[in-house]
Amino acid sequence: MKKRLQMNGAMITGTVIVLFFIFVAVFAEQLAPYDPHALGIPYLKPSPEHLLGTNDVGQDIFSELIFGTRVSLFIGVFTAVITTAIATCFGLLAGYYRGIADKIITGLTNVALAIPSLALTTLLVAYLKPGKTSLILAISITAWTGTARVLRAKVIQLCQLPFIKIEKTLGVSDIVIMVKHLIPNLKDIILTRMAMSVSSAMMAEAGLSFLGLGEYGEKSWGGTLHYAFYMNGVIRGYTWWYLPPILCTSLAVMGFMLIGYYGAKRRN
Amino acid sequence: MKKLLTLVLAVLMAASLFTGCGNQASAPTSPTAPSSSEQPAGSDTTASTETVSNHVENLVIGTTTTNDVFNLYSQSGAFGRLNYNCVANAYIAYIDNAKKIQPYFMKSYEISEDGCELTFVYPTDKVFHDGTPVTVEDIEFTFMYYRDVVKNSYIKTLDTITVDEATNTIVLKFTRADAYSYMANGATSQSILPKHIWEDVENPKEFVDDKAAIGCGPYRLVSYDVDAGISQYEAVPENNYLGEIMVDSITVKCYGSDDAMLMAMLNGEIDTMYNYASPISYTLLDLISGDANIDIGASPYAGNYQICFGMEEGRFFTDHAAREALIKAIDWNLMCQIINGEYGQIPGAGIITPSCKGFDPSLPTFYQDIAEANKLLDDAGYADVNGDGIRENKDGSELIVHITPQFSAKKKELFDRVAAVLGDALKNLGLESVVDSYPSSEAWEKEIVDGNYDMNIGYTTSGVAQYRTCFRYFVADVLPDDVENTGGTTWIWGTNHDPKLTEEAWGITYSKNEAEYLEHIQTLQQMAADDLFAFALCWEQCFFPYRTDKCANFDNWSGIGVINPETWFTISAK
Amino acid sequence: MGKHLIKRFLMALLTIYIIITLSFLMVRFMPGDPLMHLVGEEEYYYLAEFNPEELERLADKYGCSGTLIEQYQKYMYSILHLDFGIAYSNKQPVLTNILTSMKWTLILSFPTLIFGGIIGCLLGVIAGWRPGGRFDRIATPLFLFVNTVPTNCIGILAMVFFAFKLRLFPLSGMTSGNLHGFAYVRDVLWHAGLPLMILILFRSSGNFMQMKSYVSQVAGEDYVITARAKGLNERKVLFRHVMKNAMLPFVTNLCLQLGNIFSGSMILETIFGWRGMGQLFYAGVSKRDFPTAQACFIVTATCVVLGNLLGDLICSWIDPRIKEDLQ
Repeated sequence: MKKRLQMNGAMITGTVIVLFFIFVAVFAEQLAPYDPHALGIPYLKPSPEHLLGTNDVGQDIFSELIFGTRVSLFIGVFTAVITTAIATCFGLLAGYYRGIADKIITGLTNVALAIPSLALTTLLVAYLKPGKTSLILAISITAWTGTARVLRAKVIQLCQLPFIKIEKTLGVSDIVIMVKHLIPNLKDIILTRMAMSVSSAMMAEAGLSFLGLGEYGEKSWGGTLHYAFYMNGVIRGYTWWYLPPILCTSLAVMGFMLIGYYGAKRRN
Repeated sequence: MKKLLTLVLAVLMAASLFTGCGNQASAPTSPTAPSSSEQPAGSDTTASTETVSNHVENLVIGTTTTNDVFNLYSQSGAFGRLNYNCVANAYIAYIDNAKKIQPYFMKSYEISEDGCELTFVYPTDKVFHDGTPVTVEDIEFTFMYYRDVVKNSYIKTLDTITVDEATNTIVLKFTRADAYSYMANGATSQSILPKHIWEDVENPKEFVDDKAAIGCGPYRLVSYDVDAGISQYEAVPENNYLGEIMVDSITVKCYGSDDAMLMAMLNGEIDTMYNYASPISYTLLDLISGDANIDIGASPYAGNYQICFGMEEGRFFTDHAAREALIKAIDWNLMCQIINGEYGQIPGAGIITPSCKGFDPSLPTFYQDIAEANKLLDDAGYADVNGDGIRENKDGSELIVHITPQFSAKKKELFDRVAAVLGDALKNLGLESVVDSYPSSEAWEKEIVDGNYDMNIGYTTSGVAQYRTCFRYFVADVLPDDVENTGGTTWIWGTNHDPKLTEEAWGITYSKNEAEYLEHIQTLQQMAADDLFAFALCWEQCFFPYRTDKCANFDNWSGIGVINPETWFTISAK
Repeated sequence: MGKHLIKRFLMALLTIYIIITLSFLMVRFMPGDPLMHLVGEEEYYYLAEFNPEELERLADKYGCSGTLIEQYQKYMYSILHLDFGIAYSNKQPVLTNILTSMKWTLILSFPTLIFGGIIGCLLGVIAGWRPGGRFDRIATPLFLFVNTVPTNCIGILAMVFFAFKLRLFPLSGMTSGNLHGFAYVRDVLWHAGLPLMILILFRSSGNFMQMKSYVSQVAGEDYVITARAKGLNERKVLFRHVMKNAMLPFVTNLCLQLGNIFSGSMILETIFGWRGMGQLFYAGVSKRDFPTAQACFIVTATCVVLGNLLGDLICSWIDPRIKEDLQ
């Protein structure tokens, strides 16, 4: 816990931003003035009743944004957890055992790195039913490579340390070594990489939802922007429709990135 | 430093571009070798201005269809779509603004009393764009080609062709009374093909030779630039099917989106636009409404969005009361507003739009009355048994209404919004609904054919609406005696097994003459109003904008716009 | 050394082979008849109804008849002969379409690689050399912020502001047509302006972050600190020691980017109507033009693998001590 106190300004800013969005996501029902699915009068301009006006079917854009926080955060965090888990497993296996396991995992990493990720995601989402699960699955398939590489290198480094070598010769089981010694030493990297993963997953989600690959009726920031663009709100200059989702996405991504980036820096 | 960087930047960019430049020079190919009788392209404009002053020198048409397929047979690409208006091709006949079938390539046509014989008088003075004259062999070849190679269903029953060169007549004999149906569907979409080019082509759609663009229409394809999405056409004076050709040359420009195209119109880059069945959305009108030189080109649209109920056994909407209740629960003003803005008109019960042939204005118009709708369901026995605020089936089982929007890459957003309004209507009735939005047309079609839906949101394009009509989408069966499935086994998306509907809907396609056609249309509208097996969501105005400052006498055809088969012969320069 | 290179080369070949196999399996295991994906849906139904013999001929041609193993053999044979089939969209050979799109993507990606590399590298060195300095304090958050804006958002904003409001650039498209020589080059540059600016900005910010971290890492090494403490000329230390060592990972990175040169930005190309590889791929996927999507997949992935390989080669050429561990 003491380490937390050493956080620099950037990390604090990031944490505040992230906590703010988590708060909005949790209390969306209480915060949103309207049901984001309720229809009304289309194309109202911002007013005290509708802070950000209404969209093409009369749904309150402000409420859409608040509920959108949930979906966008959920996809970001969930994807990050999955990719980091995969990456940690692969990194440990490859770095600790080397040999054939390392060869296979490195090969797999090379293939995953070469695959055009957005294109593959588009393809997968188009064939799986569009929705949260498909988005998460599709983003995860190629997003684990970076973290896996970093972790593998670090594990190789750690295995050269005397105390681990000693434990190995003493016959301590591999799992114990990994859980007791390796993972605690990798914790910082894992956490900062995870924060970075959240931000990149959120960016991927924004792009995919923008291309119209999100779930029907699901209120996400990328979805709001999708309708603003494809129902010509952007070209008609309805700033209150397209600007807020852009700002929300950027801000949330920045929050996670600040934590991740400056967290990584502190490590050095 | 900065200067240096900019300089380096400019030089490098230019260098990387020269690869593009090199290809560009060779890209605009001339698909047709100009015959000796024709003038080189450059002198064309001067020649025309000397002779007649009110000719339009060059008409620039914008479109958003990619401009990269140049095949007389194919309907894809800007070339194929523009050919619906007889540009490089000459259809045997065309349908005019009054929805009458008029001869185009042929000088006249006549259908025999029994509907089995079709007599044409053919022209002898027309030429293909490579300079060869159009002979009666070419005409005969075209009919045979469509029957034997293309296997077009409307000419399938063609039996014999007799030519009388003395009177320039050609007689087609069908084994069934298909002459009228061929004229209405086949002749208006089939153009005369040059035999010397097409006789060895077995796969017309895959024919990509430069010669594939050679037709006998009023315009010859002169050049194209795929990268810029531009193609250029010039008039062939001999092919003056509907009179003197008034537009000397045409430029077709392809834009990435409708808004980019409208901006180009504002700048005067294009004079008008054409997009088959894809008019400009009402949401874009305020971009051009400020310009006095642009007419928004509004006209009633022939096609429409529609709901077709899932009629498989046990489905909720097999109950007439349920159908009526739903229609009464819809917020019709909102529905029309999201589809067509302030221009949308709440539809009547006959589905078919007012601009279609045989429209029946006497049928009632829909309205919203939630209390009455709820009463209908109460009376029919759909009560909320378990007290959760949601109605159950008559037997008390759970009731969830499945709404399925048709898959559409281009109109997905609007389909989704329509589904939202329908979901809201069901909520007004105390019904639970779920929207099944499928990711591909394959997945969507499978569910539709299997009947896994309660309400299907569909769309009828203006082309289908004007003759075959939306009713073909509702039937589940083909005619009992139709062993060869001439109507097509594809696109049978309906689940309605009503034999009367089957008979009437296919009756449209097989009408012996116009009177019979109109009779079917009338009956079907009445049936729709009584039975409510399907209903239209909005009667729309469509917009095909055009500039008014350069050309005069534009005729804005309803649902088609100012670019139509007659445009080339009627407009003039200002 | 030679053995290492051969090993790397074989590894790359294996990766490419796996990718090609993956793309084969992808189409085979999609829902529906694979032939439907390969000839296009409308055509498929039409032929199934009116011309089933033709459909059989096509099945043979596309290698959709016979057992899975036979199909796979035919598929590999045609890929090795660079025969990717005919595009459903315009009936041209897929390879022709891809080559055209590559050319247009190159117009965007080549300048991006060069200028993004130069700008990112220069600024990154300055910021990394004096971490915490004034430049670092301003530039790092700024570039970090650029990294947080999704591409589609910045694309839309730039389009609204520069193209729609200020009318400095065209809304979309690549060229106005009917132009030749210098006017044509200028016209294409004008069309490329907006997407190019955005791409360079993104690439610079990515490169900046990397270069900064390499430089600050090297700057913290003992020998650099010693050199500086000895009173050696700052500039000499920077160029002789720091740059030399920081450039190695940076060049590797550039090579990876080089592998992406034909991928194209799917989202930006879609927004700006730029008919490059990204848009071709996206259109192929969304219109179910499977021969095109498949070929795009193979070509872009292969380029990335080759870029990786090139990076490896350059690295071991610069610094022969490097073994695979550095990966």
